[in-house]
Amino acid sequence: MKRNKLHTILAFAHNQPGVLYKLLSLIRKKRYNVETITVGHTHVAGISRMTISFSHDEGNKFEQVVKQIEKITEIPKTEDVTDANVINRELVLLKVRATPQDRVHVTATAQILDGKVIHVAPAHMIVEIAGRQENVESTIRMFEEFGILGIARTGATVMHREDEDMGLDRIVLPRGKKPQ
Amino acid sequence: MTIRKKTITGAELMCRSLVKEGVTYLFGYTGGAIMPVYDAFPKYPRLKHVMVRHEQAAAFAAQGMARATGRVGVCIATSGPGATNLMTGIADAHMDSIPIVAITGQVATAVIGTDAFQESDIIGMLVPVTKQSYILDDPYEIPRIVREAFYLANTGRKGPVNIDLPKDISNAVVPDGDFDTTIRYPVPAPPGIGSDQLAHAKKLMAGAKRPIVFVGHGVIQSGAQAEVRRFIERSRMPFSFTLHGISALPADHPQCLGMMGMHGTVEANRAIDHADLIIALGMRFDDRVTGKLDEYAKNASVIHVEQDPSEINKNVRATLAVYSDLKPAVVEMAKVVESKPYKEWYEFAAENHREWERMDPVNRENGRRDGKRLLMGSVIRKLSELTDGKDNVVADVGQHQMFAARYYRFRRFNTWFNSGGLGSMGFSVPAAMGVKFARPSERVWVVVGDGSFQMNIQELGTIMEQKIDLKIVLLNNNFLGMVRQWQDLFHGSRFVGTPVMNPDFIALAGAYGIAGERVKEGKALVPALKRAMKHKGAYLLEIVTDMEEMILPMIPAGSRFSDMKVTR
Repeated sequence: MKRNKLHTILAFAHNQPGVLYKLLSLIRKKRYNVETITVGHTHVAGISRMTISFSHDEGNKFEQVVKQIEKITEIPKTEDVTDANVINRELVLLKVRATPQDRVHVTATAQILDGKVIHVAPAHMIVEIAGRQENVESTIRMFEEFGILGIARTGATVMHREDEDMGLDRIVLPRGKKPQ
Repeated sequence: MTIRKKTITGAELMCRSLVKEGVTYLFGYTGGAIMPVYDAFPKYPRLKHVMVRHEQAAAFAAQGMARATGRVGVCIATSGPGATNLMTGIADAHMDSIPIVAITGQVATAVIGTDAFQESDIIGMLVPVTKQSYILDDPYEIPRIVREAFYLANTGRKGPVNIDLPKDISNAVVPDGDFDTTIRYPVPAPPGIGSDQLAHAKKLMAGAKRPIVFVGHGVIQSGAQAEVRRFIERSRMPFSFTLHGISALPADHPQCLGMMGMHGTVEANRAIDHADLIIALGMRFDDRVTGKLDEYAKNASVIHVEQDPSEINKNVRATLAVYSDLKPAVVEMAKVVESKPYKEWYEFAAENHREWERMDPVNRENGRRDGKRLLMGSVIRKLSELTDGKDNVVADVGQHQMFAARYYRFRRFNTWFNSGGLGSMGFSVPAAMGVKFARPSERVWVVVGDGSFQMNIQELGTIMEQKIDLKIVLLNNNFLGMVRQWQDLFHGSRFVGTPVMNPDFIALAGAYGIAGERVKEGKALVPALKRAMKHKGAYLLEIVTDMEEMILPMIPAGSRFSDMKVTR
């Protein structure tokens, strides 16, 4: 099967109802499939960070999607960070089949891969791993020999190593609404 | 003693905010959820409400107002079906970048999301076709959101904005005072043309032997017609209009090659096919403009000046992309462009023009096919001659629209109105109402087909009630002509779903108190047009035309310019 390249977009948005809907509506209209999306607060009150990964196979149309996302009123800044020098991390929880005899092996495998065991049950263990989105797949494969009972992935979140342009010069944060 | 503070309702705040935005006409239709706002209208006599007969017409009328004035048009409807009926007109405004604000009633906040009577998630439905949509959940926010809605609708690339107003918010009573009207989302200004870009443009223009300037809708919307004209006249380059660029500059300008694209002129399209430089001003290279993209203007460099960055490199790759407002960029470009005669290039265009003139059916047999039925093209040509190309023309969607675009010789700025992007049948009659309210002292013609006319024919009621003086030219071929043409050309002449059984239109207009007459013969046309012009009040001129007429030339959808069909 042909695998499409995974693209990652970093966007800063006003934390307002409907912003995510607008963004996803636009991506849907372009017939792209969202693979992962993470949204969370930033250090600026009212501004959220969104990291969206999606797959598609039309390279040259991608530039336009980024520009269109930036036209969404509540999104002051959007950036294609697919090939940018950014920190990219995804958190994975792995439920691995582990009899008492397997526990040492599972724990050791987790340690080699910079993960840790966070839960132990009579017949399974839960391992937590964080890493670059594209590395996580190969990490997961290392546990296949034990038997994987479940996977929970957060999707990547991305941060610039140095200063980040959050587009703050393009917005006016709300002040009190009531008349003085 | 207690001091009574002055209070105001949400509905009144809405009306007062509209007055502050300079609104005079609102086109709308009342209903349960919007009633409080209607109830407040009499307190704000500056607001003149025009009751339409279907909400879709309200959105089109607001568009007509906006297109004719450059200011934001307003339509208003109730929740549920009232709001959903607006949608086609709003989507149309989105495609054509027309600034309108649509105010919709909504059920009370307490019952939103419960499938209450006449509830619809209108924000959810309108997000893809609006620039911005708001649901008001706080009466104190009304002045700010109205301010921001008008600002966003008419700033940068223009477009529709929706404000959804729940009934309890419009009924709310709050202390009056000085409300916050801060705009939270200022629209970033385009960077303009840089000195490197200008140098690049100069080089491209200096090297061009076969240049052509594209005049798009942006020229009208940014009011840059004088600057663009100066650039064109200084450079002496030929120019061509997009469908929406028509009337930005006079059609009889000596450098004008007419409209481009699917039904563009032979001379414009052949010029584009052979051009070595395209200077595209305020346009988006729609598929009706380009045809097959891979083959489009293969030998041309492209300078694309556009204020919406997402339109640059979308369909046609720009050699030089200028993300700028039109006026300043064109002013700078005019300073560096060389003036050249392009003699051979104009001769090429003239030869193509002559070739078409020899073939154009409208030139033959006095504009009648087989010496019998009238041709739409000849009707429009007569209209253009009689009005000296100086009247407002609002077209609907179909063959008649293309004939109007091609055969009316527009000589006045921004006098051509039609639905280009969405291509919504039913546009013309309500949009023309908006144009007429905006330009009460000017003549406004509706050019419409028998199919399109019946899509908003109920507006004859509004025309009657408001005494709107529209001259309606109904080109009746008893067919959905444009689809018939495609069936003729591409579907083995199988006319499925296109013959129309029509009512007696003159009798129908008569029932609304609108005068009219039917024209069947060529010699009756001019006197009838003159009677329509002379008549005080609305007039319906039904002109029976030949059903087999085709709008040509035509570049079939997705085809190359060299595949242009010039004859049947």
